[in-house]
Amino acid sequence: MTDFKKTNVFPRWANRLPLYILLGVVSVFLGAIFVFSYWLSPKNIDVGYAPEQPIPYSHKLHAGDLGIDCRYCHNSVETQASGGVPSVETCMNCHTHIKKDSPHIIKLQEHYVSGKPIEWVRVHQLPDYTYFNHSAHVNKGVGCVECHGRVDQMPVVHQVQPLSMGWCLECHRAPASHIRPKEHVTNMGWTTENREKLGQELVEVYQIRPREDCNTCHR
Amino acid sequence: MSQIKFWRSLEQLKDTESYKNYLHREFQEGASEQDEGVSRRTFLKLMGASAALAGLVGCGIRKPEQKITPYVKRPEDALPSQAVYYATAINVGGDSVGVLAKTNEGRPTKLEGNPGHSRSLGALSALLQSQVLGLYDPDRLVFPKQKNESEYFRKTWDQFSAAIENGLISAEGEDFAVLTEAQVSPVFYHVLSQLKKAYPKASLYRYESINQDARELASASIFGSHVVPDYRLDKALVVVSFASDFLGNDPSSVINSKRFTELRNPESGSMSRFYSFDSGYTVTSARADHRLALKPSLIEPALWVVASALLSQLGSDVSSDVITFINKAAARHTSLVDQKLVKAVVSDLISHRGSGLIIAGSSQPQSVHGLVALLNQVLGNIGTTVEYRQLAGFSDSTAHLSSHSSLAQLADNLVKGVIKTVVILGGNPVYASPADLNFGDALSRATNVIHLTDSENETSKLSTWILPRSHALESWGDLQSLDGSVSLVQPLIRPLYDGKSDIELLSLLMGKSDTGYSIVRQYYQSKMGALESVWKSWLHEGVVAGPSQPTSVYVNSAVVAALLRDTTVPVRPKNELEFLITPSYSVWDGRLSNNGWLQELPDPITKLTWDNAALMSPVTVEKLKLKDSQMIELKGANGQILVIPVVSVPGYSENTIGISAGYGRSVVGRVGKETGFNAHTIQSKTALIFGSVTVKGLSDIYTLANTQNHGSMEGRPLIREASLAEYKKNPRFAKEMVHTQPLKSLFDERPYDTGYQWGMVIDLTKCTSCNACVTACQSENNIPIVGKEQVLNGREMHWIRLDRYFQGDVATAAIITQPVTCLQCENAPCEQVCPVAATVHSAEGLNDMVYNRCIGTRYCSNNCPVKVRRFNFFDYHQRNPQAVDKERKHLFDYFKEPDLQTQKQFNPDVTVRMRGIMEKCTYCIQRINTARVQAHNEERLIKDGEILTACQQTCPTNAIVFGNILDKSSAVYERRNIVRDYHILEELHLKPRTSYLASIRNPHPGLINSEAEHVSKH
Repeated sequence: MTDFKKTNVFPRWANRLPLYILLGVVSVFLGAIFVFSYWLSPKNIDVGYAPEQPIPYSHKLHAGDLGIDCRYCHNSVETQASGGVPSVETCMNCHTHIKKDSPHIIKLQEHYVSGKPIEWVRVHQLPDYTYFNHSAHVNKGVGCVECHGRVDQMPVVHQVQPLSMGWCLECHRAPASHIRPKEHVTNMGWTTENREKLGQELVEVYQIRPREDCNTCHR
Repeated sequence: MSQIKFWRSLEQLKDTESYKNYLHREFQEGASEQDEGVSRRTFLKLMGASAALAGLVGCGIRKPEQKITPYVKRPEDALPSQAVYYATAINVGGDSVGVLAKTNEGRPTKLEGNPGHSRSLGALSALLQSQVLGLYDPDRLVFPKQKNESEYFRKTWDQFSAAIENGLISAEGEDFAVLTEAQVSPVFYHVLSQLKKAYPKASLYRYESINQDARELASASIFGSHVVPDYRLDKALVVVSFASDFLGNDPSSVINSKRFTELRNPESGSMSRFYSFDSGYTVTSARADHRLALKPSLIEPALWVVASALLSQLGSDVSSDVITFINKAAARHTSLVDQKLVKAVVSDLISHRGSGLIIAGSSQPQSVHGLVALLNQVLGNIGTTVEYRQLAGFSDSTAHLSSHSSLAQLADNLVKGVIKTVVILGGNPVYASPADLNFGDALSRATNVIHLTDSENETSKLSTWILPRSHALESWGDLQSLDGSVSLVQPLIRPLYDGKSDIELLSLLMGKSDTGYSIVRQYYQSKMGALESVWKSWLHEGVVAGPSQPTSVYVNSAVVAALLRDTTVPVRPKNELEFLITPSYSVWDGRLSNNGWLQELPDPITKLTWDNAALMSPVTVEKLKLKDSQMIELKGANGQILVIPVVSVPGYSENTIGISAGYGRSVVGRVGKETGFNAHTIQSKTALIFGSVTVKGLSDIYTLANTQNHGSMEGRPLIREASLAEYKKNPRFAKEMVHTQPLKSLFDERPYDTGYQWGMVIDLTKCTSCNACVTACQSENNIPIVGKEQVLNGREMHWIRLDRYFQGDVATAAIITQPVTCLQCENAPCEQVCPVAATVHSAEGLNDMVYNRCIGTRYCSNNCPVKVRRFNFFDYHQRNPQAVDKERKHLFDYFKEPDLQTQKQFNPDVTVRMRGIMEKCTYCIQRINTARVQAHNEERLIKDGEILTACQQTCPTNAIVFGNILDKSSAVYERRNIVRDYHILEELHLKPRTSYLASIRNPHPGLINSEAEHVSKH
């Protein structure tokens, strides 16, 4: 006869197994939260994204050193949802005369002659279910720099802000510190003392009532 | 009779067990099962394996790289994310309508009515709107093909023109014929006349299976000139129709609806009265104030009875031959029409001389059209409520014969061997002609058959050359409307495939290779002089010339007498069954059968999708001992046979079997495959539209996808109607139909008293249930089609549901319709149950649906009292019948990439929803937001009428009004304050933003009591 009482089918540590399982589950759960909220958040995976472009166009040179206004190239930004990436023709306005023998400009000319568009790589990507309108922001004193950062100092453009929904809402809920006089919208280096106070005045002057309804961006 | 006043189906009226069962499920049985050959289990197994593999590869966390490809040289005004509209024109069935075609980044995405075009005034029918999907039809013909010993080989257009040069057509054109559709393009007739000069002995034929030939030929003989009528329903206070479907299946339905509903305003006192004598049930007769349903051969006798009473008072100028004939004929049919009704019609017509109108339908013979024109003349209506005009091409030699005689002549000449080479410009005569004409056999005797066609069909199977025809949105041309106005047709996109337009092919046949542009430009050069700006303004406005002056005409009553004496309609036994072929409200004559939007559009009367059926009155069905969905065999007088399922339609004329044309195509693309039954097989040379028939019940039961009970509302007074007299007596009748206790919400109610507060009012007096809004919504909001099997499961995705109710006795039931879409309730029940806040309220009173938050619990749909939320069960955008081939033979076929062609139609301003997401009407939030940003940028407020929702914009009856309900000067505010405005399900305290204006009919005061007696007798 087998003495059931003395048979050690399970080792002693097995008594603590439920505790280990619980700890394991909790840590996997917390880990998942960490992975999704930090590691997979736009702050971590989108900020700093700087893809290589087919032609290494430098915003630092054109917008910064040469001081070309943003709207010379992105000319639908004041009236359209999309700011607009310039056509090759816009580049050729100057480059028919300037730096004609640079290998990059030769490549540009090839596109101009062949009619084959340049495939730029998109840096600032919003999901397909989100509809952002540039004109609505630019016409109310939200500077380019607020979302795109100091593009005039970037030889290679990279993403500066997370462009996440929470980040959008931060400004929609308290716009004052992000508003500037309309004439300085494209002025990357613009600063002033007591930004918050001026912002609050401008919110009144421009009648800024940012909407927080879902349908503002999702439709 | 049961307690319910309005009912949607016979099952509901009888309250059958299966109906009750059906009603209490949110979706039909099996709605969440997938049943398409591959079982769910196998599918998951396979998907599991592929997902595991995908996991190994997909280590990258970032979203995939996206490319931006700006223009190299940007055209002026081509701004990114800005839609561009072009004015052009479109024609289905013989009256062209001006459209504004929307393009996004060069892709045509939507067709809207051109407000500056006299035949559209901003509205567009469902058929015309769907043409944009036809452009992206994946089954279009891509390249020319030539037959060589029963096989087809790919060819080029150069090879075709070489064949022409090598004498495909004989030098003088002795044995050469051109078969055209009923064209309404002046340039086309110009080029055709040039062709006739190049080939003097060539013969021209025309064929259009659905046509207005009886009317045109009658006009030609009684007026002595080829004129076409244009009905000024906006001036007609009394309208009497003899089987005319002028609001529905009529090429001019858009403008007719606009004009007709202009005089349907109970408040302003301009309320017309409409009498309809018709067979079957049509969109038009559903709007009648008095309707008498008669089988097709009895329409003419009914006209005799009315005419005899009318001419006895006004016939002094009419030839005595006519009067003698009419009186004699009417005497044989006095019992056909109730004397009170005749008296009412006649007294109304006589008291409205010059502001009344009699219309005859296209199914009726020449004698009816002749007599109707005579009566209109006697009543002084010609020139006021009906205008006649002479149009290009109608005096052409082909117009002297009816379509059917013309085709029969061609068939005859082919059989005799007189004609050896035929060019068929579009159309599908082999399918759409009477079976006993055997046109297919005749055609196969020709040596060369050259068929220009959008996609391969029954006719191209018998052709030696099949040539791709360019779509209307890809080609240059012009079109003339029935009011004489002329529009230019301009391309919006370079031909997607290697296609040519009709005029380009004609030019090629003459050995020239002129482009469509140069042909049109040359034709108009003389008219515009040297001024480039004139041409540009024509293109910009879409109109070359507005409505022309009406021709003054006079009916020769002696000729009418001759037409009447020609009448061969014998008095048929009253109980004899008759078939009646009507154009389809969805696929017209079959040319649109590969269009998924149209196939899935529920028929306005039967609510059938994807099929046609033999429509009969429940009385006839019972008499013949048949039941719904049972297959029957119809046998015509000449032995022609059609096997088709039965559908009973309350109020249908007795002993009539209505069959819509356009279904049952055998050679058709993936969408039109296996849909419906071919009505042309019951047609014969002697009975083209209606004729006697015998019925034999078969044992088979056919499955029909009918949406009539979907989303039912269980007999609550959702629809409210009164007669004009009742309304005047008690204007508050609609509001008083439901008495509610003072209501209070469980939640804090928001005031919604500032800013824009959007609202909509739908006028049920005006709505004709023409389906235009459903298609507009579908094209604006990227709504997928789901296919017949899925409709059977109640998974159709249309955001707008057009509810159709019957009222009264089954034999004479009246129809009333109500478009229902999301009501945007202020106290929305759907919002209270969503666990993830994917549906929430906006400050402007809209019930937002946030697709990216939705996890697909479907609680909201369950809690929606009006059942207007739609759930995407199986990623219909990828799996819709237009994307996936219906015949899948191998398991791996299920993993084939779907055809992405139709996705080019998508509106980029609206999210494309994926599988597992709830969706619904948003009041076209994309349009609201666009207008808001624009107003914001211009530092002003949004003006009333600046935002038009897609349904409102296209509605041919102005039944829908949208705007800011706080703005006291807005149209929507005005309508909300009309006293017959009511909310549905008031007792639930939903506070909906969409309200309805009760339907008002205008019966003759002398007839109200007699009808009430009539109903109570049953």
